[in-house]
Order: sequence, then C-alpha cells, then structure tokens
Amino acid sequence: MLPEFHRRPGWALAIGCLALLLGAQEEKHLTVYMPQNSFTVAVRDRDKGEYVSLLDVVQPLGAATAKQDGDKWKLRFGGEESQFQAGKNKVKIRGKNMEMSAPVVIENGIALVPVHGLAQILPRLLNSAVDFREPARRLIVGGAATDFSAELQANPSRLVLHFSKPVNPSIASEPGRVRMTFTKDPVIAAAAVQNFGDKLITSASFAEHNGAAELTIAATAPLLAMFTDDNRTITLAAAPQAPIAAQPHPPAPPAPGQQPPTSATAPAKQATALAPVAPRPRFLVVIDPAHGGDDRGALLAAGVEEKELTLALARRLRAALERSGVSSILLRDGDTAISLDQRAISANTARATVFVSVHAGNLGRGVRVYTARLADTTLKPGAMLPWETAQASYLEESSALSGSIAAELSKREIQHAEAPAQLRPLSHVTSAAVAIEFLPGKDGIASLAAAPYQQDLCAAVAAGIVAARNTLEVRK
Amino acid sequence: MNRRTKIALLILLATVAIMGYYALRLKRRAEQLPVRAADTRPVEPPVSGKAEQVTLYLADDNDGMLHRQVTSIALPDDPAERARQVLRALISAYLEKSSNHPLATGADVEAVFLVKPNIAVVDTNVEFADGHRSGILVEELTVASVARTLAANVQGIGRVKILVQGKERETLAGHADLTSFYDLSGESWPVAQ
Repeated sequence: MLPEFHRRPGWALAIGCLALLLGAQEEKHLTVYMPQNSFTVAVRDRDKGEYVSLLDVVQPLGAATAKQDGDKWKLRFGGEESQFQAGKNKVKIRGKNMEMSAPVVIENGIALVPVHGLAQILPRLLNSAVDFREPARRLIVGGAATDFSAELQANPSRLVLHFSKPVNPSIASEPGRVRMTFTKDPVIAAAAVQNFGDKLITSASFAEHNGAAELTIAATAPLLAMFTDDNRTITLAAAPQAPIAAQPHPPAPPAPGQQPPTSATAPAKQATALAPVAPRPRFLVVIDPAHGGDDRGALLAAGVEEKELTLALARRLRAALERSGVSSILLRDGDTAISLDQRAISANTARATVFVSVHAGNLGRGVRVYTARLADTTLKPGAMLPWETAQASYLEESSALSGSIAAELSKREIQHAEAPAQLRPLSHVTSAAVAIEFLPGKDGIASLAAAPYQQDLCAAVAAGIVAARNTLEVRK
Repeated sequence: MNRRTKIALLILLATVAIMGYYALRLKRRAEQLPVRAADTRPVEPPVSGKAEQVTLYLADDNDGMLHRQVTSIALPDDPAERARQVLRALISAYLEKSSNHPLATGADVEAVFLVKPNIAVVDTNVEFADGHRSGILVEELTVASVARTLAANVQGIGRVKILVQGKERETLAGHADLTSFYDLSGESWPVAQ
C-alpha cells in the first residue's frame, strides 16, 4: 500500500531528497595521462553503455583529422587511416580489423566509441603501450605512470611518500584522515591498503574512481602534509600540538601605591613564584615563503627571483623564532609550487596562531607589513566562516601583530610602513596573519641576498612576533 | 664611346656613390634612435561630449601613495562609457614617459560594467595584466588607484572587480588578489595630502 503523501509530508520529503540525490550524479570523466601532460574527456551515456568521442581522446596526442562519409567515419592519425562505421562493432585500425564489444555511434559528425573498446583500439591506433584502468576510467599512455612508496618513520611518527615523478594533489583534512586526490597525476599503487600498526598513522588506502586517484591516510591526530624534493616527496606528520617551552614572563610592575617587596616579604614572594604555573597555550607560527616552482614571483634583478629570496628569508625567520623558543613551520622548504588555497588550508589545518607570508619586492625601501584588506566582522560563536573572508574575524589580532612587528622595526631604525592589502592566502587564514614584503631598493638587492642583512630583518620580525605573543594569547 | 658620354657616365657613377654614402649614413642614424615599442591598440574614434573635470588617484612608486589630481577630459553621456573614459585617462597618465608608476605599453580598459546597486566591473586587456610589474606594493597601488578613481567619479560605487580580457584572474601579477571585489568601504590605501 502506498503511503498517503498528503498526510505524511515526511515520506514526500524523503522521496524528494532521494530523487535529488539520484539526479545529482557526478559528471563522468575519462582522464588520459601522457608523459608530458594530462587531460580529461567527457564520458557520455548511450543505450549500449558509456561512450567517448574518439577525436577528443586522440587529438591532444597528435595531429588528427576526421572525415564522415555517409555512415562511415575516417580518422587520420599518425599518417595512417582508421575506419569506423555507425552501428558496427567491427573497426579497421591502421589496416587491421578489430572488434569491439559495442557498436560505434556517429553523432553530428563525431564518432563515439565504447569506453571499454579503448583498451583494444588505442594501443594499435597510437602504436604505443596503453595502461587502461577501466573501472576508474584512467588511461595511461606510454608508461607515464607515477608509482610511489610509503615509508613509516618512527620517533616522531611520520609517513614519507616517495613518488617517482613530481605530484600536485589536492589535500583535504577530515577528522581521522587526510585525503589526497590526484586528478592530473597518473599515480598508481601496488597495494590498495597498507596497514602500519602505528599509534598515530594507522593505514594508507589507495582507490581510483572517475578519472582520479585518491590516497587516504588514516590517523589518530590531525596531520600536516609537507612537500619537498620538487614535489616528489610528501611527508605527513602530526600537526604541531604540544605547547612550546614556557617563556618566563617579565615580572609585573608593582601596582601604584604598593610598596616594592622588602627583604622581609621576600619569602612570601618566592612562594608565589614557586606555585604551579598553568601551561601556556600552544603558540605556532606558520611561515609561508611566497611563490615557488613555476611561480617565480618578481624578478628583483638579473638572476634574482623572488621565490628564492622568500625561501631564504623564511628559513632565517624560522631560525630566529626558534632562538626565541617559538615553534614554527614552513609551508615549503624547497622549490615547490603550492596553490594559494592550499597554503591557507595548510595553515588552518595546522591551527596556526600566527601566519606570516614572506615576500620580496624591488619597489621602495625597507619593510612593508600588510594585513588583509577586509571589512572587520565579529561572528557569533559557532558561526561558519566564509572561505573568501575567513580572516575578517581575526583582523584585530592581525592588526596587533602588524603593530608589534612595526614597533620592533622602529626600535631597530628599519624603514617600514603598514598597509592593508587585497592578498591571498591572507584573507583565507583563520589566525593573526600578516604579509611582509622586504624591499631593499633598486641598489640593495645584493644586500638583501646577503646573510647579515637577512638576519637583521628577520630578527626584527621575529622579535615583533614574540612581543605580540602575550596580546594574541590573551585575545585567544 | 665619345667624350661626352664618358663624362655623363662618370657624373652618374659619382652621383650613385654619393647617394649610396648618404643612404648608409641615414640608415646608421636611424639605427641609433631608440626604438619605441609598437602600440598595437586599434585607434578609437574621439569621444564626443563636453569637457568635464574628473578626479584621478595616481599611484606614485616613490612614496607608495596615491596622489589626487583633477584634470579635464571629454566625457560621453552613457555612464558606463564615462567610467571607461575616466579610467582610460588614468591609464594614459601611467603610459606617459614621466609617470611615477609606469604600466606596460598597450595597457587599456576594454569596458566598464556598472552593475546595480554599487558594483563596477572593469574589464582590462591582456597587456594591462601580463605586462604589469610583480610585487605587492606595485600591484596594490594599481588596483587601489583604479578603484579609488572609479569611486571618485561614478556616484555610489562601493565595490570594484577587475577582469582581464573578460575573464577572472587569480592575481594581477602574482600578488594582488583579483578574484574578490575591492571593497571601498574597507581601510583605504594611503592618499598623499
């Protein structure tokens, strides 16, 4: 008996949702990987199964021309002709007859071939080895596959993934796992699941689906992914959690009218000092050396690229912070391309207290400290942060940080200015965040590349961050 | 060959030699002149309309600030075309040899779309972005200058978006974010007093 929908709106709603879910099926893709690049082709559903346009598949692989003659369709590729006939399973590829499991469909002058027929016809057509991973619709041409190994290192636990070629996955962090999706990299794995029996990183599982590969790392705590070796190595380690060594707070000045402690009161004062001190909250600085990889940034002088200087300055800033007992991490520690979104995701996942994006320019002189140019917003507790303006509710903290860095630069008589700027990833970061642009002036590029100058600037910035620590912790 | 013919021939040869030497000298002189990059922009018909005073916010690389300047240009009646002409006047100033914030040769504004109630979308050409110098300061100056100039001359403009040849671009030249709107209600770029 059918439910009475008019009396039971819950049923109608459930069926409506189901219909919506079924309707919102993901678009099907076939991804073709070549040694130099990769591309995706739309998969079309027809009566006899899934089809793709053969011209769409072969055109990016070399010069291809097609001609329709009645119900016949001729493809010229690699100097040889192949023939296809509408409604026929038999095809003639470079002079050899072959049979596919479903017939060819010709629509508007375009020949559609069944997806699983590609495994038969492409090796002959391309005259090259083809690895067709049919369930996942991934077509790897000419041995372009990228394999990888996973090595678990102990003390502290970290998973090092070595890839045979550079990779650039998109990374998503979810409770209990990190998911890496490879859409443009022909990553393949020898095993679907690898268990590590580690307390932090428990397993890695590999799956392929709809023209992409997915590597999921299961962990018991949030992980941070670091790219090194020109994107050939990804290291997953616990996102810094532990509070850093407690900094001695300067003694508070006596309140107005209060007598400074005499020798008689000294024991009481000592007792206060020995009382258990509450651990300081975690304070982590995420340093973002801007640019990297193909993104060279500004060309500061002949042969001096911004991406190199930002990395050198970021390393010096890390060292300066470490000397002050402040934990910090670099978003890249090599010549790696990381997208702006990925930088924000990494900083937010690491739960940074402070985010510093390091830049260098050849206009002006001194140091410019930028905060995100957004309208200040105070969100209600528990409210969702819009991605584009996530920084809006942290502007007060960012402004305090910027002011503190500027004050330190003033103390050291380093020319500086503060300004708002429309910058990413700054506007997407959920912590106190500034971008620092080191501007050595046209005649000072050589000095900015020199160690002593870099050290002075970075020491000033680090001192500014350390000085802002108390303020930021109170606000937090 | 008689004597007269010989003299005529000699005179002709001497003329050829002198002309040849002169042509060579002209060629060398032309080679020494600085080559000006070809401006490939199509020539537009002159704007018809009354000359009106407009306010330009000109960026200055030397002090990293915007400088207010009032100038007079012919403006048409259509509001979107007026906005475009104001921005073209701004960019023309940047293309001057003496500019303190030079833009790439050929930089131009293709169109300005005034979207109700307070949004302006500025469509620039490829030269504007591809030839732009890279750096936070230099890029921010350009974006702030465009946005402030529009707001000063088109009533009610509160948000400005910059496109490059009709498409959204991630950054102007690696730094200034072009994916989001430039909100004029936020903290403004410093303006020289």
